[in-house]
Amino acid sequence: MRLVQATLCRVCRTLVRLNAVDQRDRGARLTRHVAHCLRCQAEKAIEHRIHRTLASMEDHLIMAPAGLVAAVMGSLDDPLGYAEADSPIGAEKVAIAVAVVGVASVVAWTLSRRLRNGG
Amino acid sequence: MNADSVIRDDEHELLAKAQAGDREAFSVLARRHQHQVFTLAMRLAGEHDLAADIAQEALLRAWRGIGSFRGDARFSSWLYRITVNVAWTQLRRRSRTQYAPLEAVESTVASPSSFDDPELAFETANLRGRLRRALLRLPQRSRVVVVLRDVYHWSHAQIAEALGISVSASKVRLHRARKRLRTMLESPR
Repeated sequence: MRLVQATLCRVCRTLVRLNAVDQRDRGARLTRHVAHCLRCQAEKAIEHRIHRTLASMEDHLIMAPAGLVAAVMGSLDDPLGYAEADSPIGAEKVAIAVAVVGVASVVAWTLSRRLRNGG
Repeated sequence: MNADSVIRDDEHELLAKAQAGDREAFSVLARRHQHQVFTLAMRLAGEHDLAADIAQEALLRAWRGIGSFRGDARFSSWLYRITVNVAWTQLRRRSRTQYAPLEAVESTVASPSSFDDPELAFETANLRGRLRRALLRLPQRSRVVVVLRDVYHWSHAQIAEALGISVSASKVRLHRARKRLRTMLESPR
């Protein structure tokens, strides 16, 4: 994990911000600086610890609820599958279509009324 | 032949049987991978019931699509991809931002600790707990990227493809999410 800019010391922040400095030169200067800056070293250590801990979460398994596989095996014959069966997508689409038709009707009615009044 | 290769050979056989329509073979595979699938769903959704729904649908889709599994990647990676797709669809559908704390519902499968030093093990467990809580407080779209990149080591290209976003969007979300995580860890609870 790269050091988050906000956690760097003032010298490092300045170096990072210096766009004029050549990328390779900036990298080398940062490395040299971190080698001597205790604050940056401490920040780097914290970042690495967070990264290592996040990475270790993959092996830290959470137990699946009892009956999960049984439920799956029980629904293999269901041609729709439980997910599609209670899917709110259909209802959502209908609601959007009704709303669009409603707005269009109001606009059409308003326009026709104005045209009639104007003419 | 070591134990790992025995397991992999066994999995090959089970996969071949499942692809031929053998439900019992698929049931063995599902039982073997259910905790990994559920854990990923839990990390992405942060809510037990939703994670259970996601895991169930992912395993169902795996059964329906097992004929298309060609074995180029590991079976677990293939299952992970399906789980992420299902989770992302359901999360967008629900658009939730608040979740129950994981600690209330999480019961972990015993896993060997990689630390011999009990003090370090305690500190890591403590940090892991704080990270879990901080992850839950992240917006969904940021949390998914952090989980896939930092926990599951997906590439930005894989994340971008799974979530339907650009590689640079994935990088930006990760950068912002890491910054927020760090701030949350530093701020008092």
